[in-house]
Order: sequence, then C-alpha cells, then structure tokens
Amino acid sequence: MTHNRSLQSLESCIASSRFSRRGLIRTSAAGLSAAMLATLPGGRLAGAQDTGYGGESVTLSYGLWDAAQKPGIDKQIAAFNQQFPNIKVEPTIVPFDDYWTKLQTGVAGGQTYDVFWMNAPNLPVFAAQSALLSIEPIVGDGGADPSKFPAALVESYTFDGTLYGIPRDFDTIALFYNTRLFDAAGVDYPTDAWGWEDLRVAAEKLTKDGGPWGFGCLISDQQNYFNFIKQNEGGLISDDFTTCLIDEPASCEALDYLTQFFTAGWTPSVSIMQANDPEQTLFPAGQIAMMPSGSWNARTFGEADPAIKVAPLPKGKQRACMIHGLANVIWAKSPNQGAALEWVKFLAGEEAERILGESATVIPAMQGLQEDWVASMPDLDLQVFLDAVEYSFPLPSPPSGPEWRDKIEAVLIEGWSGNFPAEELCTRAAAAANEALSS
Amino acid sequence: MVVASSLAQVRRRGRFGLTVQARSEARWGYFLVAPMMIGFAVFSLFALLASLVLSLTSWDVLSSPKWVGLDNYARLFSDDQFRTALRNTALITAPNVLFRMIFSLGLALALNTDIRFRSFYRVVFFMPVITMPVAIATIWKWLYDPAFGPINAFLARLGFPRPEWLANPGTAVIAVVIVLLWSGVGYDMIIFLAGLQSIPKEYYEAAQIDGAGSWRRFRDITLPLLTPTTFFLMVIAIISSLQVFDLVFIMTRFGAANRLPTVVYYVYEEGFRNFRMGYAITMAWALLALILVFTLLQFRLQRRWVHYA
Amino acid sequence: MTSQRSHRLRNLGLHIVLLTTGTIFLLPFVWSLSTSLKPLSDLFQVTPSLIPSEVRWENYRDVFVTAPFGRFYMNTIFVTAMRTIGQVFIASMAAFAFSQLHFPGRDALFIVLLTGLMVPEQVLIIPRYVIMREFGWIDSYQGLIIPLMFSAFGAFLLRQFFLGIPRDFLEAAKLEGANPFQIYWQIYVPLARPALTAFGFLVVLWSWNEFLWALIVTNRTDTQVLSVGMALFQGEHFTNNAILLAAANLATFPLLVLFLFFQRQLVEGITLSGLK
Repeated sequence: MTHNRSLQSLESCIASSRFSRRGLIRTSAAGLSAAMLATLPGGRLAGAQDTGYGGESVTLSYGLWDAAQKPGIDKQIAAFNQQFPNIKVEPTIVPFDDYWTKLQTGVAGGQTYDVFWMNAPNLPVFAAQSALLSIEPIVGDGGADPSKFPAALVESYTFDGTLYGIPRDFDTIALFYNTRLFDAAGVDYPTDAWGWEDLRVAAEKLTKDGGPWGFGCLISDQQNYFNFIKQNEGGLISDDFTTCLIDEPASCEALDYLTQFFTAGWTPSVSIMQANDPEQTLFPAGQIAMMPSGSWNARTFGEADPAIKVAPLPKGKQRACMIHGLANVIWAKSPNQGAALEWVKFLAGEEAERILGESATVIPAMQGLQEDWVASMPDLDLQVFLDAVEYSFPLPSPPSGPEWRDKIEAVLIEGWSGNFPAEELCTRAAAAANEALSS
Repeated sequence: MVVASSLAQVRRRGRFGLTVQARSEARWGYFLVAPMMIGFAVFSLFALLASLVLSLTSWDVLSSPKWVGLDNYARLFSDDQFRTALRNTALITAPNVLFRMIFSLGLALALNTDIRFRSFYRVVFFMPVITMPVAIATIWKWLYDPAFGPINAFLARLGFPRPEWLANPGTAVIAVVIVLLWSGVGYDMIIFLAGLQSIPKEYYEAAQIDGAGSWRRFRDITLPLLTPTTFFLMVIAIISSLQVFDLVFIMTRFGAANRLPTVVYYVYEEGFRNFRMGYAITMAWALLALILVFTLLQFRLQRRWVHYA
Repeated sequence: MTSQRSHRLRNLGLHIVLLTTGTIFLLPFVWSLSTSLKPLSDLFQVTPSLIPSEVRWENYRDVFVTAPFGRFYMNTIFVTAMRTIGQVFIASMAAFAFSQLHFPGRDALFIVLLTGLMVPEQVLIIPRYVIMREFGWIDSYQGLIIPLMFSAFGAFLLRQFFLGIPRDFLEAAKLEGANPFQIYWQIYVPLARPALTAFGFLVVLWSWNEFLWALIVTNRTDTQVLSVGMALFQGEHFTNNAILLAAANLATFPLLVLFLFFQRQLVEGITLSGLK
C-alpha cells in the first residue's frame, strides 16, 4: 500500500515533456526515457515487446461507459483488425453508475472484461488490490510511449512505481460564458487576464433577482472548487494520502471566496442547482452567465446556444486547473493477456489516438493530435483547454477510493445551503474527509 | 363437516407419520414445493448464507475478505449514519404503507363498479408502473423544482412560502412518499382487482336473495373475503418499502440522496462506492432481521383479522 | 328516482376526482411522448414544454440506427416468456402445497422462502455471479432466465388466493380419489384464473424492465435485453433525452398493449360484485 515516491517521480520524469508542470525536470531526450525504462521494476528491456500473443483466435471483451464514443471505438476496432484479424474485440457499454457495480461484481466473481476503461480516482483502488495487469511489457520502442502524454495523467495511472495504463483522452477546465447575458448587462467578456476580483465584480453585475445568475458555483470539485483552491496555492491532500489539507488557510480562503457567491445570491442556490442540473439545463438555457466547466461540455453548450463562448479560468495567486483523463487497463486475471496487451498497445498508438481525435468527442491524450478536436467546433476557442494542460494538476486519488471527495462535497452542500456557520466550512470538510481516509 | 373435521384430525396425527393418507399428502406437498425450494436454495439461499459469512469479514470487493468476527455488527450500533438511514426509512415506510393500502383499495373498488370509462381509468392509474424511470424522475424533479416548478408557483400565488421540497429533509420525506404512492398504487390496484374478481359470485347471489343491501354486501362479503389479498399487499408493501432505493436514488441523485439516505442507499454506497462490502452486507442482514420480525409479527396477528375460506 | 339521481351525482363526483388525479398520473407519459419528438435544441429548457417546437420523427429512426433494437426485442420477449411460464407454474404449484396440503416443516419452509425477499439484491449479486461462472452461464439465456424463475413473491401471492378458495372443493375432490396434483391442476388453477393472470401479467412487466441481473450476467449484444440496451443511448456527459425517450417508448409500447388486453380480464363479474 505504501507509495514508492522516488519511483513515481521517476515515472513522471520519463513522462514529462512540454506537458510538464510544477518544475519537474524537463527531459526532452527520448533516448533518455528509453534508457531509464530499462531499469523500471517489472519492465523489460526497451524494445523487447513480447506480449505473448501468438496469433490465435481470441475474443476480447472491452468495457466502457460512454455511448457517445461508440462510433469512434468501432473505427478503432476496425483499424486494429487490419493488423490482428484474429482478435475480435467486443465492446460493452454500461452507464457510469452501473459500470462500477458491474465491474466490481465481475472482479470479485472471477470473470470480467479483458480490457476496460479506468478513471484516475479508481486506478489506485484497483491497482492496490492487484486487479490490474502492468502494461510495462508494451512500453518502449515501437510500443507505447508515455512521454507523448501529459505527465500529470501518466502519473495518475502509475501506482507503486508500476504503470497500469496509458491515458487515452484528457479533459481540463475553463470558464464558459453567455455573451447574450454579458451584452444585456453591459459587462465586458472574460479574458485571459481576469483574476478572482474580476469574476466577482462581473458576477454581481450580471445577477438579477430570481435569475439569471452571474455565476454558476457548481457542486463539483473537479469543475469548481479544487481549481480555486489550487489557484490560491492551497492544499487538497497530503502526499501520503493520509490527511486532507482542505483546512489549510489558503484552501479555506478559496472556499470562503466561493461561499460569498451563495451568500450574495450571485449563483443559483444549492437547492435550485440540485433540482436543475446547471450543466444540462441552467447554463445552456441561459439562466447562468458564467460557469467553470469541463472540456467535455463544450459540444453540448456550443450546440445549445451559439452565444456561449469560453475563456481560461480566472487567475488566483497562480493559474491552475484540474486535469483528468481515462486510460485503458487490463484485468490481471484475463485469460487473454497477450491479445489484451496488443489491443492496449494499439490504443496507446498514434493511429488509434488519431481516430479518437477525428471522432471529435473527447480530447485525444497523445501530444500533437488535438487539432481535429479543436477544429471540430470552430465557433469556440477550444485552444484554452489545451493551453490549460500547462498549468494543470491531476485529481489526487488515494487508494482508499473517492469517498473523501464525496464527504467534502456533502459538507459543502450543507454549508453552502447555509445550514451551519460559513467559518466552519473548511474545518468540517477536512474532518469529514479525514474520517473517510482513516477508515 | 364431520368428514372435514375428522380429516383434520387425521392430518394432525400425520405429523408423527402415523397414517398412510397423511404420509401420502406430505409426500405430495414436498413434491410440489420441490422445484421452488431447490431453485431458491441454489440461487438465493446459497447467496444468503455466503453473505452471512461475508458479514463477518472486512471485504473491499476486489481482494480476499479478511476475517473480523463480529466487528461489523459492533460498528452497526455506534454508526450514526446507519441510525439516520434507519430513521429515514421508517419515516418513509409508515405513511407509504398506510396510504398505499387505502388509495389502492379505494381505486380498485371504484374501478370495479360499472362506472363509465372504467378501462380508461385503469390504464391511467397503471401508467406510472409502465412509464420509464427517467420520465418519472424528470417530471417529478420539475414539479418539485423550488424556483421554476409549478407546485411552488401555485403556492406562491396563494401567498404560501415556497418549500425547497427535495433539498430539505423534512419536506423531502413528504415529496418522496408522494412519488412512491403515485408509482405504487396502480400496481396494488391490479392485485386488489384480481382479489375482487376471485370472490365467488355465489356469495353475492345468496346475499341478494337474502335481501342484503349494497353496503351490507360490501361489509359482509367483499371486505372479509378481500382480507387475504390485503394481508399479502401489506406484508409486501412493508418489505419493499423498507428496502426503498431505486426511485429515491434516481429522483434525488444530487439532492435527497444526501439529505435522505435510506438503508439500502447506504448499503449500496458502502458496498460498491466506498469498498466496504463486508459492512454493507452486515447492514443488509440487520435490515433482513428487522423485516423478518415485522413479517412474523404480521403472520401472528393475521389470525385476528384475515378471513380465509 | 332520487336514488338514481344521487347515484349519478356520486358518479359525477367520482369522475371529477379520478380525472384530476388521473392527469398527474398521465403527465410523465405524455411528457415522454412529446419529448421523444423534440429536436435537440428543445431539450435545454428550464421548464420542460409539452409541445415540441417542431416534430422530429427521425428520433425514432435514430433508435434503430444506434442500437440493434430488433435483437434486443427478440431477447426480451424470449427471456420474459420463459421466466413468466416458469414463475407462474413453479410458484402456483408451491402455493397450492403451502396453502392446501399439510406436511412437516411447511410453515418454516415458507418463511425461509420469504426471507429471499427481505435482502436487498445488491448484496446477493456477487455470490450469485460466482454460481453463474461455475455453471458457465454468463452471457447465456440460461443465466438470464433460470435464476429468476423462482418467485417467493408469486408463491405468497397465489397462496393467499388459494386460501380464499372454499375448502369444500378440496375435500370433495379428495373423496373422489383425485391426487393433489390433479386437484391443483383441475380445480385450483381454473378457480384462481384471475389471480394467475394478474400474477402472470405482473411477472411480464417486472421481467421486461428487470435491469440489475441482466446487466450483471450479460456482456454481448446477442444476449442483451432492452433494459440493458438502453445504455447505448446514455452518454457520460450528455444524453439526448429525445432519442433516449424514443427508445424507452418503443421498449414500453408492447407492455401498454398487453395491459389493454389484460385489464379486460378483470371486467367480468362486475355486474354482481359491484358497489351499487
């Protein structure tokens, strides 16, 4: 269960590139990466990519949760079958909530997908319980190259020094805004020079009693409050994942900053946002003027209303936003490990990532393949999401799972509903999170 | 009558395997319940017993369970969240069961008359049972919407305060019970209608010949002969209501699930989201024990009011 | 004369009550019909409108383009038919024995059977899944059908109905030398027809929409049923509710038709048993 920090930072070094962040050593030479790979525990000599697949007929099950990506995945499978005609890949789509129930039942019951989607919060949980296969055999010359992917994400899929997945896509956070509401209130549009104070002032001016509201203060850590805490250089969780740091003064300050939007009525109340999902209705319906949200919502918002545009998140003490992405992982007990490794290797390659980019659903994770996605919505300045990678932070993911985040959220819901004094917000949130982390 | 009571005596002695007749009847009895009991043993009882063993372990679902003895049960008694969930479940169950019985019986009686458009009404009240959960959730979320919903718009026009419905634990109970009733009465109505159907017409014919009026026929025939059905629906309503999860979960995903966690919601969350399956199963067993007590109590009390032919 | 007028007046009152409450029962259905015809741009409203800005029938066509809906239908029909036949037969036989025959341990067995209803199925699926793996039934019709053929609910429901049947029938048949199976099959089954039909209908309904088990035990499209196939219309971040509801309406339409036929079964006998 203990994290081998030195090995992890070694991984980050290997993975770092122009995507590197927080002053990690930049290692531009690909040769260096390859040399270091040879020393990785469990890793094989660079270039020696023996997946163990011998060309036999195999059917691979492939689990995923987003139906919107099915067409792109079908194309990836077709391309893969050009190389491996004997490996039949059968994708199964299960809605997100049920996906985890099914996956856990399958792992516990001894029969589940050979290859499946994994997110960062669950990676350490599954990896710590030896449910996943190391993909290091396919890393190296002609195989998967972690240095071509955002370092923060590669770090998310490394556990105890072992790499379990190569990111397939990523998402970052930016500020969406509705130009019609800005024009009506006579407020200048957000720019990349905006700071917290600009956001606050604009939100006040844009708010009318009973709606529309100036700002959508989402009950979402990834899209909302974690970003502000990081911008204020506040802590989220200790490096060893034992203590929640959300009660640090800088973190508290960020939460207090957001609390004022509720007390002043510049954001819809918690109960209104619970009854009307801001991402599905309030914002696209023009009831909210500005809202921080993930790159995955760009298509929905753009199609809902051409007046919706996007700008970078306002700057605090520093620029910061959360980055997350999914990876393809292999079940440790898959009877078809060789074929599974071939499929995952293909998915981490340029051809598969290019197909993903062309499908214009999510941002392909491989560096340099994002133009198709940016070009898919010319009316929106999607470049802001790519620029955000530079200053992005991964979602911290302890091996005990995402419960600590649920607990923080539950406290914020109560606090922002005004059910207890605002000063207690961060201490209560940290206490609840710590309880989850210690049990 | 004489034959029947002597048969009953024979039967009673049959327990000790005395008479050929009783032994033959017992053999038939086992034979006829065998398919059900074998299927139940393989697919449910095994899983139940396995889960009883798992409740004595600490199990994160993904790795092997670790033996902890009665720790999970000890934790149960000091767990405030479990107590809250239990209280919420009880708060939902009591009114839900009571009104569900009253409304579904009322509907079934009204729609078992020769009233016009009877078929149409039956379809209408049964619709929620057929309608997809996503449509149900969306419409009720809209109806309860504190800012844009029609209920609060109506209350505001009358000068009443606008409750926050699902976001407030107090009103959330009422809101959830209303939706549960709305979605459940049609189902029970069907079973009551089948119960009404099964009352032998001869009784009514005989009563009519005796000159009994409609109220007397209702009181002396319909009501008592409907008690076996009523008993069934009540037992099932309590069992299902104490396990309420799906609808509450769907409708209040972001709202009352936080404000109004029920026992099964907590079981699901602990087991599949927080990776504490051992404890989740322990709570499920505590719930089973509670439901079992209620059910046995009802079976004990039924002698006082359920009328079997 | 007066009694007839008061009768009519009472009926009018009843109609008013039924119609007003009925509206709220129909609302989600009407809404799901209208939404299924909406273009994407209509979906982002804060207050859902009942009338689409333009009627988009293509949503229904898109359902068939997106998913192998025909296959899902066939699977659902087959699985539902098998489960229903199995449940009605097995449960009614057990119900007859539990209600009419005497044998040692009868009531204890019955209570044990009922405990199957008292545990949330979420905690039973993992052990059940292990059994399926041992049997090699994952991704098979057997796995979908057989574990769900044993209904404690049905045994209890039918037991109650059988208990309502006067015992004279049983005793008379016994004296004539009929064996218990013959009595069950030739006397109790016909007499309990309304209950058996109602139960059968409820099984169809439940089986048609059953989700959790079908989700867990199947992976491949060849064995998937409608309720699980709905996943093909649900995106992670955005779902086109119009197409999802078009699919949902297509999936539930057969149930509605079935109910229209079924509810007629509950009409006879009314002239006598009615409240007048």
